[in-house]
Amino acid sequence: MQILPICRALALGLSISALSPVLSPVLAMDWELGGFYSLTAVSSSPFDDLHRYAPQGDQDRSVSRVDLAADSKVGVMLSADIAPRWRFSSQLLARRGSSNEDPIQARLAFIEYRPDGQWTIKAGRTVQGLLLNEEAMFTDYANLLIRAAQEPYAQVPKTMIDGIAIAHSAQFGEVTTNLRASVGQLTYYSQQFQRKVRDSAGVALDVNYHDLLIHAGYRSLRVGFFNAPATTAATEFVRSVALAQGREDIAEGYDFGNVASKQYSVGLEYKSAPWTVVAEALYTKSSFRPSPHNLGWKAVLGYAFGNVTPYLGVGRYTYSSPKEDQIAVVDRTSGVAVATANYLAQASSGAQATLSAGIRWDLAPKTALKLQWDRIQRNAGVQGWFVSPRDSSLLGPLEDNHTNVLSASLQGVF
Amino acid sequence: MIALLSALSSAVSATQIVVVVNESSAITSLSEAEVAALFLRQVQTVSNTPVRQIDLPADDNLRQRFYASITQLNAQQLQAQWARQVFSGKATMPKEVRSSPDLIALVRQRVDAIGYADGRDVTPGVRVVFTLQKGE
Repeated sequence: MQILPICRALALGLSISALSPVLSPVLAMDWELGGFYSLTAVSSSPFDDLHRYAPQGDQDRSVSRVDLAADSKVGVMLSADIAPRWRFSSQLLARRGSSNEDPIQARLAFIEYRPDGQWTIKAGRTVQGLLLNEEAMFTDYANLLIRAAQEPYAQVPKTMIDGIAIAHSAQFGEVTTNLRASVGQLTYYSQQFQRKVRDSAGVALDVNYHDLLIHAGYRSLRVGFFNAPATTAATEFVRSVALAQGREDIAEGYDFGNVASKQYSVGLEYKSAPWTVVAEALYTKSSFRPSPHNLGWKAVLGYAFGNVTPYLGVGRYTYSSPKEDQIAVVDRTSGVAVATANYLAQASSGAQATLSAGIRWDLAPKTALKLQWDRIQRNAGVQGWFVSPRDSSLLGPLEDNHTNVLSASLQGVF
Repeated sequence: MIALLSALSSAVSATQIVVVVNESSAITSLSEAEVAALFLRQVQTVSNTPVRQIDLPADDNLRQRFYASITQLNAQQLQAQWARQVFSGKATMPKEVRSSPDLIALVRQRVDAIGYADGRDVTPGVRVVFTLQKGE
């Protein structure tokens, strides 16, 4: 009964032996393995079709009343010095994303070259770093909050790119700077849609002075949908309506499959025990009707009593488009494409604000337990952080509303 | 007894924490600001020389004293800061050794290594580039 496993083990051993001339230099490299995890339970109240919490981009998933899958994740990072000045790093992230997304993804996978002490060149999958925590936004342990705040992080939910990143770090007395520039593209899923990021070029600057970090970023990109028949049809519909109303400017420029966007960010972080203060804002200007102007910001304050850190957070985002851009009011009952076109064609505005209060207990050197309450206030019609019924034109409740979200999370690094 | 305790106390307070590099390293001395930036993983290089930081275990008293002296972060903030640097791909994972003599031994082997150690463990083959002042 045990023969088969033994034979397999022998075969594996022989295979490895045969490969040893190839493997030995690889095994001789200075490999490093580490990782992070979050085991999180989330519950929202009220709990109905329009008040069920799900992370941004995953709102096409089903959500249970006490949901363990939404915010739980594990990441593993493997790095090695493959030659003098050359380094390889990869990070696999396992989490339940949108319904079409692979449960395990390569968050990072790049070759790094250091021509000298100050310059770094990376090729492969990297992250542009528009926001303070964006580059490690899935490493929840690194932050006070249980998860990256939707305001403003929802606007940059998938910021890794396949491309090239160049960084320069320097020290001037007590000031250190890190300047990064990157270009690349990415194809990913958000909700049930496959999306593309193209021509994404960004720069980000970190300035450290003692306990203070100041961050600024800029990114220019084009975003589009691949497999969204409703929005493709809606684009055509909007164009035809715009032409019929003599708005050639809108008809010509409107393409939901190719939305130009520019993003600007500023952030500040002050860490000096026992205080932690984080504040950042992101402004996005795009041709995405009906919300070409987006502003999201958040601020977090924490004070440590030994290993226990209570914290407070506030965040808000708003989006708007000018009323003069409104071109049509079409029948909402005439199908998804027309309803979508109706949504896209109208001038609109919306807002979501989140008040968070929580406590972080660092119960071991690399392990933290967090409890957090969020009160999320939405304007009428805003989807925000919540699931909306699939193929429905109704994104959120028709009146202003709020939802309480309770979360408990065990987070750590290894 | 009192004299013995006093002698022990004096010996402990006399322990100086030093930052060491391999004797072949191009680094000859560091300022406190440079040491802080290096061990906070804000930079991976000093004097145009790439370095690899070596740490003692998280519960090591020497490590706790070292970081308490060069940063204003508590242990949790420090660990969170490193996590962010490492898992964003900006910095390499901390390489840990078991003790101060082990750290000295590793620095003797690796030209790019830099670490902090008990000044009494320093041996030929390494160079002291920074000394924490008493009371820090």
